[in-house]
Amino acid sequence: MKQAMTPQEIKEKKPYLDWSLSEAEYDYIRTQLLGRLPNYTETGLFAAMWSEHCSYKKSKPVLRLFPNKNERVLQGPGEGAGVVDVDDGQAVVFKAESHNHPTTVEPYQGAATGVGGILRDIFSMGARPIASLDSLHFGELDNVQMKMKVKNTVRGIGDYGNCMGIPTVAGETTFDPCYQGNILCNAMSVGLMEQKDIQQGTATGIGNAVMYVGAKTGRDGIHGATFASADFSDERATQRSAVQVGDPFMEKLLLEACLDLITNHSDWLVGIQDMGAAGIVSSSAEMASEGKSGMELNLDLVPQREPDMSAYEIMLSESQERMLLCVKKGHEDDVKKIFDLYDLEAVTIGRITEGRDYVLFHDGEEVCHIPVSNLTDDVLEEESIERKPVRIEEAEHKGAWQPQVSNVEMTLCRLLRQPTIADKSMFYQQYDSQVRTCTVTGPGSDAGIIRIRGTKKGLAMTTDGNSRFVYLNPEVGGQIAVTEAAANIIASGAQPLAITDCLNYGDPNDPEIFWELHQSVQGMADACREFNTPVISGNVSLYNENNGKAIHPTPMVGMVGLIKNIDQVVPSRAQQPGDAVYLIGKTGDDYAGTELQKMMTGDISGVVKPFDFHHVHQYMQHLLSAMQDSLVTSAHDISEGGLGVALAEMLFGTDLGFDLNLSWMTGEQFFSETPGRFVVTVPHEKRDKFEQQLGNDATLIGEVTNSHWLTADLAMVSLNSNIGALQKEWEEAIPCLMKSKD
Amino acid sequence: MKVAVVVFPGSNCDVDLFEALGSVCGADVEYVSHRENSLANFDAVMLPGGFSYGDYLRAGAIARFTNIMPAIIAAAEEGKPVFGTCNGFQILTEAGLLPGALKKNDSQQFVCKTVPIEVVNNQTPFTSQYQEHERIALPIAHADGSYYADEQVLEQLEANNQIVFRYAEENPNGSLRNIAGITNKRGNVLGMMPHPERAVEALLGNTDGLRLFKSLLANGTVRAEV
Repeated sequence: MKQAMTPQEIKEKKPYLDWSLSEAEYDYIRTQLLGRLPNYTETGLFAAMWSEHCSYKKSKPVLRLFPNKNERVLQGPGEGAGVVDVDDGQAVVFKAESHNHPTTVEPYQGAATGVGGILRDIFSMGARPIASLDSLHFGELDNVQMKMKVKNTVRGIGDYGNCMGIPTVAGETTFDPCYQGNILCNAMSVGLMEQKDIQQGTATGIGNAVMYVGAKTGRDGIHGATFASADFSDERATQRSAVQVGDPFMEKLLLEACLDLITNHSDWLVGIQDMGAAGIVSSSAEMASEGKSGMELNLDLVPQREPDMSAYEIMLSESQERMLLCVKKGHEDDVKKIFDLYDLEAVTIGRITEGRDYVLFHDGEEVCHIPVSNLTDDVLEEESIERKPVRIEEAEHKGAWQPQVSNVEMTLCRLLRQPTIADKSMFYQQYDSQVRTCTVTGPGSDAGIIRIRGTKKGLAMTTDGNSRFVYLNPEVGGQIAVTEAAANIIASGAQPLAITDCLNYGDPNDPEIFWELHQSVQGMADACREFNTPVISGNVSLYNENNGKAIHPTPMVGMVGLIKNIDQVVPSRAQQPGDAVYLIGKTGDDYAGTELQKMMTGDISGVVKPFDFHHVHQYMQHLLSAMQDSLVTSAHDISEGGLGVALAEMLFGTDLGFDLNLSWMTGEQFFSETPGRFVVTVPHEKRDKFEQQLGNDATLIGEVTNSHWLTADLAMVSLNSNIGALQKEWEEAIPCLMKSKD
Repeated sequence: MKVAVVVFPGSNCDVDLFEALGSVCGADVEYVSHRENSLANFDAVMLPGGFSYGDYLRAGAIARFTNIMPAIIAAAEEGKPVFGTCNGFQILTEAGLLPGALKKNDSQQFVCKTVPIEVVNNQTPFTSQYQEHERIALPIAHADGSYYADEQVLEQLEANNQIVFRYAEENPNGSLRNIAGITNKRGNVLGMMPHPERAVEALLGNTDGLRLFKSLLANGTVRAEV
């Protein structure tokens, strides 16, 4: 099939506007870069490669704020995934990626291929994926459509990960009306490798082969990248053709074949890259650009699932389970033999050439001839205008919202039934969390923990984000997201190493939204510097809007920590009666953006107050060393629902209780969400040593009992709640909402 | 005693079985590809869990046509212990080495959790180190684990003492007569949906599956009699 339009027709009919390439960009390409009219295929390639999803043209200036190096970082952003040294010649590889737009349109395939895509990023680095995590944000469970979306998203994640045999060990699921028209599905994968096996997405060496491996190319997902870079509206409700279809069995074969090649025959291989967003064009152009090479591809050689595909379709297809390799000349057949063993195709589709040109042939005709750098480096970076939102200006001039809690027991019970707080086992039981038999702690704890077989080491991992705080105060909200992730890692007894992120925002052309992006990234970056957790990978998902209404700014932080001695993992549930209970950190009147506020007022408002994250980091390190000295029997970080909810969660699934004296704390403060706090239990005989190490940052609040009641004296009120009854409320809330007919 | 762990395309609990037998129990264990055609050098054969051939068509339905299958059948006929967990169980039923079939769970959902299991028969090479009617807990992780057979077959299973494991409290998948694991009539082929290989180390929170492998390794050289 020849070009669908002539270059002149493109200039006149402007099809590129539908592919989210602007008039200014087209003119810049035409007059400044090429000096001629681009043809149909070329225009399509520019549209995909210059989309926000591939080029980060909007977010780049902001992303530069992140620290991305420290003494352990072996590979920062720019490759398939970031790599961190975990001693003994081993490295942990991780990355998170959003699949929000596909999941909103077609939840099952969108979520499934989100998992598939992030796994390929990990094994293209040479690492074996050892754990998956997710971060899901849905609308409220009060309508049938949303319940179906939740059900299918969970099934999509489960079906893909379960078939691949990679345990899903942690994650978060929240519910808020702002996600009703645009749900968020962020998937994170963690891999383990020998440092010597690290691969790069590069193509060098004139005459070396460009090999296509894996599944055939079809018409699915064409323009997925540009689709992800535009917002939703009811007028464009059917965008299903832009959603890809996943085949986890094919991916399992591809995983084993690629790791076989990388670990046993790395001398044949120059580079390897996943064909993710924008398929063949992005992988091949990025590899050529990285290697400062020219590249020539013959599209007739690309394995195709459907007849009569145009060059444009072949290049932009986002068919899943494919990889691109650069293989040393003369080893093409050797590589093919490896893939034959796994019943996979491996085809030489082109060569590395002299110069820096990117040349494509199709049906015997040259369909593209442009400098590689035009696609990858010459992107027109856009100046963004930013403006502080009016709602924040207004909130700063209003007094803070002050709740009145008259019945603490009832309030605690109601909070435990809030979907964001309630038990998520109905969802995570659909994920295999134990396959590969390395899961020390699975879902339902502060962090998932995986042991590294053959060593004493373990890895702790978590995903965190609280968009309600970011919405009210982006800078402090960004700091809280990183602090909360660090708190989860430290609560399990691990030292935080680094983070990955997914930055989920609305349309960045709206100055208020760009301001939110900028401020929250600044907050995250400052906290990352404090915790020495550089950002080693991540992705940006903008245009999360429906009918002009944006989601809350939702930066997701995925953090990984190292445990040197796996026997010192600290559980999040109370362990034995008689242990002393401590509250770590000071509690303030922090109610803006809390679950308590949302429950009592139906909305969130106010200003989230700044907090001293330097001080929080200091005592977190003291807490970690107390854990490493075996002074702590359990620890749980305090987040949604405040101290009250944290205490209840520590008792669920045990037969224990707490007897607490909190006479200095008000009933309202019992549910305050001041960041950076923990509840820990300490054996009686280790109290002195623990108090020495934590000083004023630890407050003794009571002891663990064997009564299975939560009993506390607060300033004006007291609380005496049966844990069994509370657990029942907490467990039944989500199944009950999912089953109800409306 | 030399043990084979057969690897099909899509097997993903192969490592778990291999490590449970090898690094935990110290057995001599080797992976064997589905492309091989002999298991003559092995004393016992293990079929791991996972999604052989992506569960396409039906769980286990394609794996039964692989090269290795005649060798697995021969090993069973020779009286060697043959063990399949999860997808391995599904393959054994598809291959006709065990009666019945495994249907989609009643919930229509994949389920991963630890459930109480009763050891119904401890007179097998796989369960001799358990007490009869002992209550243990084992992880399950499957979408197609609902055991089905017609009444006549179920009666035969009961009469011949072929039901080895039953779900002890809740029935997590709708299996008839709460069946979690069965043997063939001769007692040398065991298929079960629960994953004993996931319950062999205290670090991971459960060791109730360990005695299955220890029983097998202790008894394995004694061939079950017809």
